[in-house]
Amino acid sequence: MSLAAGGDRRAFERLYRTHVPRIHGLARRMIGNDDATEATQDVFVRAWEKLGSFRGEAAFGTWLYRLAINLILTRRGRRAIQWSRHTNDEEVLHGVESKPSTSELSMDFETAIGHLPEGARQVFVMHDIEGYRHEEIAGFLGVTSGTTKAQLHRARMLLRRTLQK
Amino acid sequence: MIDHGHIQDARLSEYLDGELPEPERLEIETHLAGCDSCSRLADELREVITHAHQLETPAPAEDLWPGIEARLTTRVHPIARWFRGGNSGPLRISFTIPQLAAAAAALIVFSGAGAWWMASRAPMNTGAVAVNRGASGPFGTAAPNTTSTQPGITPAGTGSAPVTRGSTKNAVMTASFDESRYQVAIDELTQVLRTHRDQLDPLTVKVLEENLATIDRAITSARKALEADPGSGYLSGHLAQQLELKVWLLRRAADVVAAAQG
Repeated sequence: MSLAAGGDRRAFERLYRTHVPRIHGLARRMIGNDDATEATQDVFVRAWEKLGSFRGEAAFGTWLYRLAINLILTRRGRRAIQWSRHTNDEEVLHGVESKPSTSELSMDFETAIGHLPEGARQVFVMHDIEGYRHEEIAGFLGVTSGTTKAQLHRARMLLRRTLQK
Repeated sequence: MIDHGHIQDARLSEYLDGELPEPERLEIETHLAGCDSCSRLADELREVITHAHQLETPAPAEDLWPGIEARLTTRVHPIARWFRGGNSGPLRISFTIPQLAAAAAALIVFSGAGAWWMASRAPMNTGAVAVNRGASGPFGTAAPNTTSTQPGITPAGTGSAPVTRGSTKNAVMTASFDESRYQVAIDELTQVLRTHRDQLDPLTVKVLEENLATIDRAITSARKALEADPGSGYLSGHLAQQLELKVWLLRRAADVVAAAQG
């Protein structure tokens, strides 16, 4: 970590190799596969630029994921939650095919996550996949924790239908 | 709320996440025990949560590093920040015995090389001296290399003339090198150490200052010798190595602090 902070690109590449699966997964689930590659690259370039401001008060991974979430949300726009309120839940997962094969269930579940309304998806990814608390998510999104709790429940209610198919 | 006899809102998710206050948790547990519909819904939501936790995060199909590396700009390392205590209270750092031993060994090697260098510096006017700064630049992480590229000067008992070790990135330093670039880093770190002296383990401070004093004596000697023979590439290189050793030792302290901070 200190080597990378000192400008060592090989050390920074090692950090990249360690953290890229989770960062890319986060980006893919938050904003979709098409934009995930560019967003992931942006995250690591920004991390390189901001390493000088990393004071080691938190673990590097924690710092990096926070930076990634903020960058991804900025990229997408924070109005997502407001927009999602106008989405008809009955139509949300209409396009998700039923996959009776157990081996393909996870892939189908990923697809279903991608079909969630934006606000519900963001909260679901951050809470149930990434493990952030409602207070933290509310801070990221600029909403109340009551809103994030409602969005999380909404996402779970929608996703449960996928598992029932 | 429990509406029309069933749990209709986000409280069920809060219950599953263990986030409800005790009275509400008991209320919902009581309801679930007697309501098949809500109990089934709770099980289905648990399954969703379980699936989410079990999702894998494979690496992207293509290697994104080349594209990232192409966009990285050269950055100067702000050394002082590693010593800032922030709001987390006093920071006490102790070097490990191997670290101290390594530092002491490095001092012995460098001082010995310097003494030999000074004693055997007769015709020393051929210009350039190569100094290995390791893989990461002038103030990189590798210990400074003591090896001279000056042909025909061989330490006693070492056989053939030493050649430059390390990568092809070695920089060539002329006799009239710019000492200020070392001094900036040294001044900054010295000031920071002075500021945070009471936050470091006293034994660490003592050993560090003793080592630095040894290096300072070598630097002073090199400066005096260089004043007497300003065209000497050997002496320029020797002074540069002592300065680099000082920066290196200070940087090791920074690394220890960084490691302690996670």
